[in-house]
Amino acid sequence: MSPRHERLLDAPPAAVATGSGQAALAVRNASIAYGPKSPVIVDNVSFDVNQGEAFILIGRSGCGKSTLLRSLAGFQELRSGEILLDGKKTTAPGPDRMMVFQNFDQLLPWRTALQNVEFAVKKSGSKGAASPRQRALDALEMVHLSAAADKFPSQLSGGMQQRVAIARALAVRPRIVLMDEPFGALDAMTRASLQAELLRLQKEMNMTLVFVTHSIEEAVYLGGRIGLMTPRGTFEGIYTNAFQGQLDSPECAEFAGELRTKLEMSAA
Amino acid sequence: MNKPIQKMAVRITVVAVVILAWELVPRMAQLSPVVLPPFSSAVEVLWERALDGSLWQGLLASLSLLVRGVGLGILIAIVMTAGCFIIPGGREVLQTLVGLFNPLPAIAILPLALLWFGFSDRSMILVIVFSVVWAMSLNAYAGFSTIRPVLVDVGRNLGLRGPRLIASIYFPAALPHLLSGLRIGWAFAWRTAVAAELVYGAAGGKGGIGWQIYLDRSEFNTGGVFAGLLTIVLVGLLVEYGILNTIESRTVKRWGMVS
Amino acid sequence: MIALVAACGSTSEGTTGADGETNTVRVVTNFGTIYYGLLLGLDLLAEERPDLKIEHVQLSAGGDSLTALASNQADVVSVGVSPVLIAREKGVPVRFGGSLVTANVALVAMDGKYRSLADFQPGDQIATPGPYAVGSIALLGAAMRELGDWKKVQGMFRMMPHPDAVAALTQGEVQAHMATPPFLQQGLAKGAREVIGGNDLLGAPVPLGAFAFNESFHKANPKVYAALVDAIKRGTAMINDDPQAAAARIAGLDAVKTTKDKVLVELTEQGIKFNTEFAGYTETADTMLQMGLIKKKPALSDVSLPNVTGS
Repeated sequence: MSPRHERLLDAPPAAVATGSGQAALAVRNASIAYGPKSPVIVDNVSFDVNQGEAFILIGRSGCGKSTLLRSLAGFQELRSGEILLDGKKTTAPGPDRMMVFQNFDQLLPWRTALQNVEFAVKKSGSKGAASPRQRALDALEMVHLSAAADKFPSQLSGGMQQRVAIARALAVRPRIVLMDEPFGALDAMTRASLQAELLRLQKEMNMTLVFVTHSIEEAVYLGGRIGLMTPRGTFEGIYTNAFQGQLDSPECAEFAGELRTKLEMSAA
Repeated sequence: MNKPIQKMAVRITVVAVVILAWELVPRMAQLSPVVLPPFSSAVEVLWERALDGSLWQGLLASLSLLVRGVGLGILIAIVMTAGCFIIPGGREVLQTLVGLFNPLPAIAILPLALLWFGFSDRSMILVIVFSVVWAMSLNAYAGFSTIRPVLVDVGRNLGLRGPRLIASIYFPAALPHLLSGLRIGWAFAWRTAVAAELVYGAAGGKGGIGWQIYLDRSEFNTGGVFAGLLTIVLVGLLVEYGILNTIESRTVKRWGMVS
Repeated sequence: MIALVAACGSTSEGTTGADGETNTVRVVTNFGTIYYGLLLGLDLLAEERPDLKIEHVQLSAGGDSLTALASNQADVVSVGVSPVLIAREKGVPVRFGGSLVTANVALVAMDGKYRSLADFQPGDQIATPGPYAVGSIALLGAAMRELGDWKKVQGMFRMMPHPDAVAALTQGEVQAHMATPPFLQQGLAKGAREVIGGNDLLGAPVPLGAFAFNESFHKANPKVYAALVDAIKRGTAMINDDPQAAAARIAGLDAVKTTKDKVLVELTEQGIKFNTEFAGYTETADTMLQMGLIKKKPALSDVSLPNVTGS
């Protein structure tokens, strides 16, 4: 790892902090509904996300994947069940789970790219040897946006804004990064390059990531494991992905095809 | 010819025509200067008063009241609106209050203010605050209500809640609305400050622009009345274009929050 | 001002009668006892000259009647001496047709600590109907003599009609009231004391009310003018000669609408002297000259129509 990655990640590795065998994030029998009498959106799901793992939540629109992710972030209350972060129950939002949203407009328009990242470092209360400003600069460098540090969000392209949002999430040094279709609104070229960058960062930093998408290609490219959700808010299954980071190999395409079939079957 | 230059040309022409008509009509119709003095005699009075200092004294008196009242009004409006957003059910309270008091012309509560505080700066400030606070609250409320939910999520994600969330997310996000509230509110306040003196005379012995107009009218010095009106307009233009537009172009426009 | 706009709307340009003179007279007055002689005169004239249409509008604030005259919305107005002198220097074509009343006026305060003008401090407030009303001039003249600075006292002025001023004084909203009858008597009855008044103010009785004409009206309508002046003189004389009959008639006027007994008290018991002959004009003009409110002191005849008398 490069020195700047060490600075960003100077928190102790999770395996040391929490003891071996314990999941970074554990979801136990979680059900979610928007009101006491509303139908459940997510129905009694349980899964673990391990330290350093990229866990993909995939499903059709309305399957509850984004709602589940918002629950992990603490924005959405559970009707029942619990969410454990390093074994501790979480309910409220906090900077230990940093979220990257789909909307480009998730940056504060009144702050420059650098100020957006620096603001997050300061407000999160995350402590470190380097100054918040230095950490923000480092994070921007990691997403290759040093040149745009002093630009306001309105002066940045959609792809650049999403990179800043990723830099903001990483700079805070969260325990887990949560991403809700962050590349969904980007053009294909930009999306591909950001996917590659995210994968690189995830590997380099040993990042624990939960990533929501409806694109099977994206899931297979980024995911270590892929949780496939049904329209009823349950898991069809959780699949280990042997093709992470691979593009267009025949085996990879075959695996993707299998996943697609399962997705379609689950909807039937 | 491009658009801004065209607009500017139209504006300058309109102003020039108004001034020209104001200068020529009283002369050609041989109107008594008591009824309608020409533009030049109003400017003359303005010039004399600028030189002898009385213009600045009056302006200082009016503006000092205005600045204090508007400042306090903004503060109250923001704190009140923010508070109503934090406290459950507070939004209804705020909407009801704004609905009740916004239609009231601030000048109408001057008699009450005089009863409570006498004919002092405090009465004037109360009335100015009243003229600002509802327009400002209405806009702050609109700004807080129309905030992009994702920005609130970003703030909550960082662990911000309550007043910290309001201060670092809601407030700057609502700035375009707050500025338009300020635009409306200050104009109300300026008119109210002048009108209060026009109707009731000087506050606390330090007469402002309105009081000067009152005296001029009593002295049948119509040129002086027009000089006062010119001053009111000039202050309005200065605040509108000199101050508010500058703030806007350095903040919300620069940030791309408004075009 | 609202009342003035209404007045503009209701008045119409005069139409011409058989003798070439107007048959419409537009009169603007204020409210109060001091105009009773004028009102009574107009009523007498209306009875004698059914061909003459008298349009009467009442305004609450002093300066506005002259504004109406200056903008040619009125032919005859009730005035104070001082506003007319200021207006004439500014070119308003107004001339006195006669006096209406003279009276003792006084500055009154509720708090006994105000024993002279020197006891007033910045922040104290003195209620008065106008900055250059006759009573205000008398007070400012006294301030100039006693304190050497009348602007300080003018800075304490708060403009309000006399009836409001009595209430404001007794409720402590203002510290003093530059009062004219009958409001002076009302204030005294409610416990106010006189700070300065009578001849200490102007050195003469104060010319509290007068009536004035637009110069062009007088020029174009000499007969109507003469009839109006004559009627106002007779109205004033009737108040002095037969107050009972005058009170009965005044009480029934649309512009007054009160009981005969009340009017009788106002006519006879409040120190108002009804007289079409001027008194206190010279002293008022002198004071205004010293204050710098007028540049030259005109003689009474310079600012009046022919046959106006007094000093």
